[in-house]
Amino acid sequence: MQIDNLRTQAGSAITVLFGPSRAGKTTALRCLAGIEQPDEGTISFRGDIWSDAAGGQFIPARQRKVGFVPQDFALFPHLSVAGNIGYSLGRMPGAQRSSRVREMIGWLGLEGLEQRLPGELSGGQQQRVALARAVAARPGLLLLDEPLAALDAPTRGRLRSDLRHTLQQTGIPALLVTHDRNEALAIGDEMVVMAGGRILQQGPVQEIFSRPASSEVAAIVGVETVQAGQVLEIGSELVIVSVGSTRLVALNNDLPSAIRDVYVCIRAEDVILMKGEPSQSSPRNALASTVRMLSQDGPIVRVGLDCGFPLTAMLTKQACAEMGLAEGMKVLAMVKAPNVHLIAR
Amino acid sequence: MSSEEWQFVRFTLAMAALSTLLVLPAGLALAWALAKGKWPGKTLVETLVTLPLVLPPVVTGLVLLKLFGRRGPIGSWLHDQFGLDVVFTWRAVAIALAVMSLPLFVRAARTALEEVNPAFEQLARTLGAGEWKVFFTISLPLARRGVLGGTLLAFARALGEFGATITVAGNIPGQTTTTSVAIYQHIQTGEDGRAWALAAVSALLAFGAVLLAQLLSGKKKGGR
Repeated sequence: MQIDNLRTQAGSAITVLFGPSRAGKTTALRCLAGIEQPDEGTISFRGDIWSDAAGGQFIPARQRKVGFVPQDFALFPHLSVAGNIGYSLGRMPGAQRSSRVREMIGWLGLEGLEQRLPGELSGGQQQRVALARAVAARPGLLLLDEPLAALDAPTRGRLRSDLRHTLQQTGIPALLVTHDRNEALAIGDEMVVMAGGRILQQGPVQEIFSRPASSEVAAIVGVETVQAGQVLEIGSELVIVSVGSTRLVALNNDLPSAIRDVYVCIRAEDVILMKGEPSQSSPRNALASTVRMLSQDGPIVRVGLDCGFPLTAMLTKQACAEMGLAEGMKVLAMVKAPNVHLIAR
Repeated sequence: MSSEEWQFVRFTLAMAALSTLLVLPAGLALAWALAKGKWPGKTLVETLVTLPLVLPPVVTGLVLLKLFGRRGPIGSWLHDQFGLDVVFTWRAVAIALAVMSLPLFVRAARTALEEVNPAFEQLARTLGAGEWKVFFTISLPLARRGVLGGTLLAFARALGEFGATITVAGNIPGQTTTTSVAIYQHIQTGEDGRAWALAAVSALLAFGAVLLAQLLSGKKKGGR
């Protein structure tokens, strides 16, 4: 596994390490925590070198002042909630320590649970105790490994936005590992996409989702339609590509001038469906399509279309019903040029 | 059983308790060191610690005799510095019992420590705990059932120890005679009745200790 140049912003941003499982995200996190030692390379935090394989330097975990929350929380089973939270505060005088523990308990809504043992807590409560324990000694960096993965789906949805809010309140920079797209979108400011032990792309969350830098990233962040295409014309502003026999108009976002083969990426949310004839409207692309498949995904319906190539659109159940969409029906699929994203091959 | 015999029992219990106390610090340190990773000389230490389990106990007794005798390296130092004699005194009994029961304790304690989930220890380190704090606040508490079981086993073993004891401490009633030594003597002198009486007491004590140890190791780990 190899990670090059992971750099995060100064300040208290929340950075998400995003990617499929076995991408190396957890290993990276554990190296940052000081629990694992990389064979090569360096790790530094705010200018302090934490690990330098070539120079033989290694600052162990206990000297790094990090707050680590592993996936299964690892709450000490023999200590109460208060005991767990206060574990890192051994050096504080007793009164100060109790007051800090009380502060953490109040902040995360754990009142009444002080003397409970971890085995007696619900998943959501355990997660909050783990977080309180990590934050109690005011670490310089928070590391969370799939913080919501151990919870059941309804709890997860509920705690997602809570978690962002909570992390922001600490004012401590946080690095959070997840493979869940909704989590990354809901919680992260910055994102680092990883796969196969490498970093593929880094930047503000929204930007990566709307402009994946490669087809691999596009597949990871979940752009639904990724098709091979050929560039027919490059203008200074617009580009014309063909996917099969269908022509599409895209924006020229710094494409190399000699480019020929591209991947065409279109997110399902960016596809608008219309019945009837195309009349004057702003989207540059109005594709005659046939509905091939409808599949419901909670409040959303995924519509599989054939417009000369497979295209996926996403509609609300309501819109779908109003349009009376059914398999075999002919509709117009509209995509604005800025939403046809081209990736050089 | 006569009062003298009850004295043997009390003496043996006291010596076994003392030897177990002696075993604990060194045994825990060894168990911890052996449980944690690789280090040079580990295999040698492992072998040395296991030796008293498989060597003929008299041989162990002989080695102790050599070391702690008046002219031995440790014995002479103790005699010269503190005027202390070890061989053929109760001190030799305690040492013999400790040496013979150490391997059992280390085995049990090491297994118990190895079974502690390393995730807890790693997490404790991220919370600023040094190795001593990790051991005493995390590893040992989480391994307490196994360690306690090992302690009881060591105690039971010490209660029954014979070969090394008689070699290095001899048989001086009131001073170094343990129940096993007394039983042996009674058999030699044909006093079978007395031998059986002592044997019964011995067996009961051993049974109780081992039963407790079994009960402890049978329960779920990390339970309350």
